[in-house]
Amino acid sequence: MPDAVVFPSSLLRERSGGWSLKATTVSPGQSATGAFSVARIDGGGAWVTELGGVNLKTKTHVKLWRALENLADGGVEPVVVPMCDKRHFPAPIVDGEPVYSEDPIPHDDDTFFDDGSGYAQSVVEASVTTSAALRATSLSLTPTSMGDLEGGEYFSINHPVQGWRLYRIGTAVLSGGVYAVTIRPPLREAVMAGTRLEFDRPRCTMRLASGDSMNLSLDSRRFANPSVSFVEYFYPA
Amino acid sequence: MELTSAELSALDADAQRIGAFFRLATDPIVRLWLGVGPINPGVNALDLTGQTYRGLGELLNLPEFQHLLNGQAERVEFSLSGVSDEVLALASAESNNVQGKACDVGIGIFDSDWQLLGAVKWMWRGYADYLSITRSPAQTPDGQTVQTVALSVGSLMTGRRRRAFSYFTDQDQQARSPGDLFFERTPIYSDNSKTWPRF
Repeated sequence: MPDAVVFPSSLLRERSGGWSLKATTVSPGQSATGAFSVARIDGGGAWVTELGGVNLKTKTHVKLWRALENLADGGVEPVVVPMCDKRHFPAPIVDGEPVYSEDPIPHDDDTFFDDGSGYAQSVVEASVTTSAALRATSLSLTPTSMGDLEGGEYFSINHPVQGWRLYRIGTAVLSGGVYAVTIRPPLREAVMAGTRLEFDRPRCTMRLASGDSMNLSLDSRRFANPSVSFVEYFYPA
Repeated sequence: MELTSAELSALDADAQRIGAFFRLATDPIVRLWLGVGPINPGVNALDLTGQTYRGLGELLNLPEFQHLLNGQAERVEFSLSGVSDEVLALASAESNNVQGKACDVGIGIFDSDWQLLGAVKWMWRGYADYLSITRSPAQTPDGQTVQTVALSVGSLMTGRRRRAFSYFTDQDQQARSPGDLFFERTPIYSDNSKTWPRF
């Protein structure tokens, strides 16, 4: 699986946006008994996301947007798009307060890098308890550092072939320190026991929804608030 | 085609989850389905070992089809993605790689957890004829060009009234099935007649 371009977090400046699973249904219309039956034929749906009104207000933002448009190449190249869902992720509770992020971690001599930055670390750590097959919709996961799962949380798995894939938890039941969760969409690839689950910064391999999704029109040749749409991308099997 | 009781219950519900599968017996075999992502539907009448079907965008639609009854044999067209490497390679290959190859369409029924309740049910078989590529150019400068590859498939009865270009001679039979001696003696019968049956 080749490396894909990652959507820069410095461009996660959208005013609105969301992730949804696009479903395809067919319906034969109303039956003689008055029922409207419907059939889904999409196998679970594919992710689509729109980042609305991304605020580009500096020269760096504008040039970064243009460079990314080049690399996305009109929708034929994959882009790993992260999602920021910190308000809803299962933050662990420490001293009665939820922990959303860790402070930068210094070297073992308590010094930082020349620019003052340190090492980053995820707050939530969890892994798959038992292996699951391709297209499974149930998973067991073992939390190492995590708040309570309630359903509605997002996480990602970095699969060996299909890369980063996003999943959403439907139901979560805790028993004996292990969560049994139901997920959508079905697993894009089989997972082995011990596979790490990314809750802090979930992301998904996508592509531009259309060739002109990243068109940029600058106000006063300086600022812009473009929107961009992505759909899920699949590597050849 | 047998449906299990679980499949029948799923089909009885107001909302069903159905997967449509397409299999073209070229070399290598093309396996596609209308759902998202890859799927391994397990052993079925055509795939004796589990094989993976590719999804999302490869097969754009399945046409309506019907079995021949009292008249016109049908010819249907399957629209395939026009940008996939696999489909474009198929379209640009020699026509005899596609022509006459069995093309099967089947369905699979899923439960509420998107798990298949049984094997794929193969419902219709046709024989591929030719691939055509159509391009709809953009109507405006900022419009999009749409490229689609269509596979024309006939049923067993398609062209049944068309005169065949081969005969029941030994030469034609060797071309069809080398080593088969079934029509070796047909020239013997050209000048005499046999009465059959004799009671």
